[in-house]
Amino acid sequence: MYEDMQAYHALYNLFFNNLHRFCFSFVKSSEAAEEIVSDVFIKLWQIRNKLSEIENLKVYLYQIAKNFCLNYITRHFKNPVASLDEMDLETMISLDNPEELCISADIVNTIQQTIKQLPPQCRLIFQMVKEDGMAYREVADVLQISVLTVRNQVAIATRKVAEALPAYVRNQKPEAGSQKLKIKNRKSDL
Amino acid sequence: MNEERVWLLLSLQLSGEATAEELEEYNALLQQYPELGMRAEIMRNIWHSKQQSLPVNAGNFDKHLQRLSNHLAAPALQFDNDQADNIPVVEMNRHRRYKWLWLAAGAAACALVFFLLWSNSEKSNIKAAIAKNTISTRPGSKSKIELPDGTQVWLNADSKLTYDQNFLGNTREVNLTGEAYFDVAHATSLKTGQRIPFIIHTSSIDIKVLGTAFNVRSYPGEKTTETALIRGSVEVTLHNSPDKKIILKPDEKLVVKNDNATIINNNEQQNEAVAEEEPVMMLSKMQPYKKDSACHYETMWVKNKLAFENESFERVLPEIERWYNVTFVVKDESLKKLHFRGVFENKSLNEVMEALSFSIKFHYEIKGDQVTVW
Repeated sequence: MYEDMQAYHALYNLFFNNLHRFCFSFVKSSEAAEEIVSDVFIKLWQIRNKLSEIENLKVYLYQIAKNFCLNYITRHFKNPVASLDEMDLETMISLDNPEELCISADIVNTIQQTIKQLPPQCRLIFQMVKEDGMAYREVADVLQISVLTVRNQVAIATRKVAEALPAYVRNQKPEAGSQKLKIKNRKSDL
Repeated sequence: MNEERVWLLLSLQLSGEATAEELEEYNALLQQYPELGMRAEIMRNIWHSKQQSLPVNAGNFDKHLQRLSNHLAAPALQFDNDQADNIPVVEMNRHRRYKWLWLAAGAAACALVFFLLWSNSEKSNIKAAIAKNTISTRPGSKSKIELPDGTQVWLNADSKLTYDQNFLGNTREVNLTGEAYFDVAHATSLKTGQRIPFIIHTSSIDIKVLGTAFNVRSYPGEKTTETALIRGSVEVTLHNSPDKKIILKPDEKLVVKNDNATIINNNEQQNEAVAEEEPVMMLSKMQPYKKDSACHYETMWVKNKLAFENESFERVLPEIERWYNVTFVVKDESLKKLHFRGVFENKSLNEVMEALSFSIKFHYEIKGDQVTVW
């Protein structure tokens, strides 16, 4: 029992941040998200003797979390929508500060705007792949969409963000300077 | 230059999904277009910038344990709650000793609960089989529910769903009267590791599924039972000919006459189907509401839209009756042959009747919950 509890605690700590962010995307309340994560782990505790039967625990946890979030939404929101496409999702794609990224604060803003303008499902998929490090197959299984959709959506997000970035200019042309894109080219091999 | 391809390949590389060929192609393209290198590099940095993952607050887990303990205690051990509730959460954070005491107490309580539940279930296994859960909707109202296995069910007006108390055993079986949209969750048997089928019994057919989304319409007064599949696959068995199994593919719809005999596939044998006066069973493609839309007439009620796809008055009326909880009196029998097509969202009965009577001329009068048409 004690060992079980230790493992359980470790598992909770391992997944808490990611699951919390995932749930927050749906319910947009930190408290509610925490409660849902807790519910997920209650469920996990109840079936802990049969965990070996579960193919992919991560996918399983996300799946339960998603179901609980959708339940929460139907219970608490006035006009629940059942499809991810139409759902208003709050995603968190983390960006380092401009200096780490070798770009100006302006561009970081632009990137954030670009991400905000992506369709909700696209942002959620991007978040799951980038922030939670999930495989396309796993994301597809959780959201019950095809792997190809995941692949396309991640490509779209990547392309949109990349297009918002300043293009590299080999010879400092006057126009490039006037664009106010202060590119700190720290890496000489670029 | 195909920049889009570069970004696709980059996204594959960054998410660790790229094959060796794709990586090679990516590198080749970057050499060919060095001007993309800068943006690719920034993109890589963006991708790898992660929020500093803060260590999870120990208080979170304690709070969770309390909820877990409450949850486990609630069904069987009510007396346990008092004790648990009195331990303040904040206290526990400050004194590690209390925490372990609490953990031990919690664990002991859990063990006790499990022991009691287990020993209980051993004794009452036979009795438990009789208990049934029933969920029903009245005319004029709809409802969405989640079954214990995570399956989502939207129940249309005037419908009833029942399932056994021991629903989550080796089979998941429900009985349906009326109309419901199912989004069935996958479930794996904990003993055998095999998928547990989900079976829906209606008055004329049984539908067996593993994990999928579909609509079933089986109202007692209606001539047919309809199964419309959105995704996945389902297996339908007719009560009258149990040896015949029909497998539906996505976007297919099966209409079974409620007192049935033979099988006709509408796709391949359309002419014959027409030749027979009323086919007992018909398999057809669903009509999407708009081209390229995933929205089908069959499932629009889930989104609170009253939709008719070239349906006869005879079929439209009961639907409106259930939707608005009214009764129709049809004074002119010839009206029943008329067909309608249309989608109504958040419209009042008055507006619906107005629109219908306008598109195909007929008269109507609404008095309380009775509608007379002629």
